[in-house]
Amino acid sequence: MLDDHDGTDDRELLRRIVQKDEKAFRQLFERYQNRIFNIAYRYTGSFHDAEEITQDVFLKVYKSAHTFRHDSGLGTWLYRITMNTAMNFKRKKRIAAESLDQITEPGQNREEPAAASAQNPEEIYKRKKRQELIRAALDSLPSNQRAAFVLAKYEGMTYLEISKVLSVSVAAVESLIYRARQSLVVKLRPLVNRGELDRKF
Amino acid sequence: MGCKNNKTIISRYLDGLLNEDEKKSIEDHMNACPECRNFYEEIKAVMVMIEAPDQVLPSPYLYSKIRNNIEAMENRPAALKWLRPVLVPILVALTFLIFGIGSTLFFQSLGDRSQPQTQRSGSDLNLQVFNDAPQSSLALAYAQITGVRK
Repeated sequence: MLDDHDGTDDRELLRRIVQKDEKAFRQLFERYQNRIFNIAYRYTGSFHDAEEITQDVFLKVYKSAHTFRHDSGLGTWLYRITMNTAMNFKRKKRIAAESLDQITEPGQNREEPAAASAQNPEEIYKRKKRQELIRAALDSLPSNQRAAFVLAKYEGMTYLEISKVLSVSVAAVESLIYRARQSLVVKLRPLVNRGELDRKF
Repeated sequence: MGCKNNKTIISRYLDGLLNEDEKKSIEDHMNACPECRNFYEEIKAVMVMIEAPDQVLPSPYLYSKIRNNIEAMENRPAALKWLRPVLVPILVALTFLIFGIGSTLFFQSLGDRSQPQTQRSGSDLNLQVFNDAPQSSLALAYAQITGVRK
């Protein structure tokens, strides 16, 4: 769900940020950095890219805090900036890679965010390959489908919340998620059929 | 109801967006329709497969990087800082000025051509060539016709 904190609290925070109050800006950062970073990370699959995007987001917030019209929650506004920044970032990176004839291998830019627990090498290898396939499948989704799916799946947002972040209708969100799921099933079906996962249902 | 429509409903079912009657209806359908049941199982399996681990934490130095960027932005040379907000209006004004001057000169030159030819000496127009033109030349004939030459 969205972290739209108490409206008065958010207004006060933004008012102070407009006045370049560093403490208020730090407070905002502490409140939202993990969520923003994780949205960017799930969307791009790259720790480094997610950090760059997060920096861009907070820079934009610092410069544009005075433009926030309070017609949505602060969280919604922040996540909208995050998704737009992430989509533009990914698009520019793809264009740059294509112009240099670089093909990003599945999982090439992916960094393991935390050390895995001790496992034998074969398990580690199988898990890595599976993650690469999953990453490639997610990367193959059109940007709007990927955005809606990431927000629903990894951030637990409702369709209504996603519609506000992406500035589309609820019906559009439903359609995007449905199509994303269909694409992912097609691409990841081999993994499902090989029984390489623990089915919890 | 076609199974294509049911697949959309199954997607909503997975997200817990159906009321009790709708849930019962789609569950009954999945029990009777292998295609839809298989679709549900596959989606469920894929969703479990791509289940995210715990939230990923950013670098502890992230805030420092952001503050450095802000300070660099705010420490731009003073000349540039005051120039930024007025740069666009200045450029727009210059564009209109250049366009205005250019248009004025262009239409003025058109106007000059449409005015009646007045007696002007070749030297006034720096057209010494007409004064020096041989008797039988086209240049002389032209000069006589247009009255350029005295």
